Amino acid sequence: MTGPHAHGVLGPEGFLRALPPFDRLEEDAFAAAVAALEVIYIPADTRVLERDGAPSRHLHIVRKGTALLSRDGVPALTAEVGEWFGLPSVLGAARPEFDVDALDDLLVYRLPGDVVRRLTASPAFAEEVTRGLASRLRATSNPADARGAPIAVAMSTVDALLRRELVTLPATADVGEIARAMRAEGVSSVVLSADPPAIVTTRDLRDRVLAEGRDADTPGMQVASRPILSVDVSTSVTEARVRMLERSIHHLGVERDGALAGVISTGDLLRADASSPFHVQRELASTPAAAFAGLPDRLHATVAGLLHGGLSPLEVTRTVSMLTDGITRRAIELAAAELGPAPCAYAWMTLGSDARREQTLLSDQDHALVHEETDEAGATWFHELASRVVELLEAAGLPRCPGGVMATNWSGTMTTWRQRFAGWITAPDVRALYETSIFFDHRVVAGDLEVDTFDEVVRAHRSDGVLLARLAAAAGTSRPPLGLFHRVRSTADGTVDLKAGGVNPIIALGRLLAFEAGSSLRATTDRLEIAVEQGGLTPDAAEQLTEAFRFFQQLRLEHHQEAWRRRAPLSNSVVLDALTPSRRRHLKEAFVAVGRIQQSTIHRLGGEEVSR
Amino acid sequence: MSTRLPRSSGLSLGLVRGRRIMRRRGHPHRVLALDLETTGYDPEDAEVIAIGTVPVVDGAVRIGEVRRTLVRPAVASAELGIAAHHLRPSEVAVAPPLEEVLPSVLTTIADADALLVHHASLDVRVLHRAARTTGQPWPRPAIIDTVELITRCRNRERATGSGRRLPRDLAGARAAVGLPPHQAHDAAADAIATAELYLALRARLAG
Repeated sequence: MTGPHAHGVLGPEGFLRALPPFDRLEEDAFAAAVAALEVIYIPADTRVLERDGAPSRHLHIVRKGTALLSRDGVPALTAEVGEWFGLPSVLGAARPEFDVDALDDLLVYRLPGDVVRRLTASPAFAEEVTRGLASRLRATSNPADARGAPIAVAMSTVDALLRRELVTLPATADVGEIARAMRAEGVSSVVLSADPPAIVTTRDLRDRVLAEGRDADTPGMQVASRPILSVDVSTSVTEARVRMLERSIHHLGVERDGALAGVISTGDLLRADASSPFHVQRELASTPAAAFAGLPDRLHATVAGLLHGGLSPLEVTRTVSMLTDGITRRAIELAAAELGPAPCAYAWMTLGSDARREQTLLSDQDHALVHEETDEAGATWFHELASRVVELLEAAGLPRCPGGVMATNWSGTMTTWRQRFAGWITAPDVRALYETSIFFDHRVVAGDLEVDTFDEVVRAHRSDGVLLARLAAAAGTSRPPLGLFHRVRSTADGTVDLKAGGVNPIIALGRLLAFEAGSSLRATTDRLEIAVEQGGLTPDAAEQLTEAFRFFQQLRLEHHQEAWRRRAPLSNSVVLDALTPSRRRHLKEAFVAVGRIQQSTIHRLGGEEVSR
Repeated sequence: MSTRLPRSSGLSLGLVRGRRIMRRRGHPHRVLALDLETTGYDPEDAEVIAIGTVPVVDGAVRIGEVRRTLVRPAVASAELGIAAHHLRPSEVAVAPPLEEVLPSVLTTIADADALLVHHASLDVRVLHRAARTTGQPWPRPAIIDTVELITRCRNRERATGSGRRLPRDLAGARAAVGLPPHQAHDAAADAIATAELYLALRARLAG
């Protein structure tokens, strides 16, 4: 089921079969759903559910037409073909949270509440239903190791993969304690000291706790697996990988002298793989200029492997940034080797997405140079360096920045740069403020000059309310493409720009909130986190933005991959109708969440006053 | 029937002697939507090769109770019709004959408050004749014909001068009232399609 018209001639059963999460139901469960399925017709302007009225007795799936969900007469969301309403009310037997009206005539497939509740016993189904919850868990158990310094070599035995002490808890620990330990330690599994020891993984927390509707005080042993499948430290990495594949497990115990010494995950194996980014990173150190043209294919293959290996989109973009850094360093090294020694100390700054470590493989060059005071000959040396690096990066698949934000145009001494920053911050034009915001996301990738002082210039203005209001207005420059009743607005050719409409508004919010918090963090999700700590954002809003960000980045990465395989030009625009109904639904939810939080944040900081 | 209407569509329903009145206020509690796939358009010698039914209870089409029954025609030369209905002759060849499947169909009809058919004159006459020839009592159901509902919509809309004229064929009428396309020439799919059209027309006539 792919094309926009693919379920055009499907009957009710076929339609349901093609609709996630029903497409994942086991035969028996699906048959039970079809047995209870009913079709109703609701004329336009009929109220279907009433907020705080009687609980919905059915899950309503829209087959044709548009239902409007609103609260106190304020439209909140629409449900269109393939989307549903009444689910929370059905699952919790609770009063509806929205008024639901038929905007036009509705053809609705409905399922009785008891059937829906039974369906949620299926993990695959529950996963979709509890998507919000699951992502919350993911966010707290994000393995920290992917952020660390790259491991230099591909190792031969699992011994070398054991990079940390075993995280153990008493056998009496409940799942809440286990989840907290995972978060605190940045691990994806915890061992319970029973005899024999048992293991609980993040996957167990999702499938056996959340999806089963269990509470945080569920004893850990109830959801743990034991005995822990283990290998000796002398086992080869290849052998360990085969064991894990055979048993379809994602964690493997490692024993030293017969005692459990650690746990390795599929992520650890991936990093040890010869085709892994760490291997590419190592190769980059000796790549000759002539081989730069071959890099895009290497990078795409690496990203394909990472996505296939189930790495989260933010881990993938961090990896792409790491590799871009490697390419840049190598390019600088090659250029400097021809030009002779640098006339003085300098810093090569990467800007924008690469500085935030959020790079995809569709990215322009964005960089700048800072150097100590030098003479004319010195300035020429730096300009020559920049020109050569730009050419090498271009060969490596990074096009020149159309706006000219490159070290060839943007170099200068510390004094010059400090003046520039101060000038941008106090510039009266909001649009200009937005355009120069790329410089606020900078990171040194080569050279040894300290540039922390730029952040101090910015931080000095943090309590400036007028500046905050102007930055807030600037953050509203790009908005999610939503139309009337929160319908996703596509262009004439039916496409939606994920970057302009989804990613950019979130990035701008992160930058704004980090500014308010006086933080020099770069990564958008880190910025949102610090904003929560400083009270600039509710935890709920931060989670929604993070989840939306993750979703947009995932879509972009997959979309780029697909284009690369077809040898077509990469783009950030997806055809709305080519997405599955569930993807479309998520896309709309993400746009709506971003739009709402963007608006309330701009409002809170007085950005609307400035725009007026 | 969802196929193109034959020229002889002016057949009188009086022959069936059924109650064909839909209550003016309030709708029948249980309606059985039915579609026949036949080997031709002449009610006197068209043979049934498939029967699709689905109940509509209190305005809800019960997809779990859809029935699709294949029937083996008495005359083997019915292959032309079979091809048109996407049925393989081998499928039909092993199906039970009409006299075997008819009793349960007639019981289902009797259990309903009304029988719902698109272009009732043909299908109802074929069924009625089949009951007579196999010696089974005709349950004399009240008949609701979606073609007749379309006519009432057209008359009303002509009176008020509103809108375009509703087409009388199943697929055309469905499209005109905004229902999704369906798999035509499948008895069960056509029965569901008729049931959905009935709900849409009913709402339109009530408005």
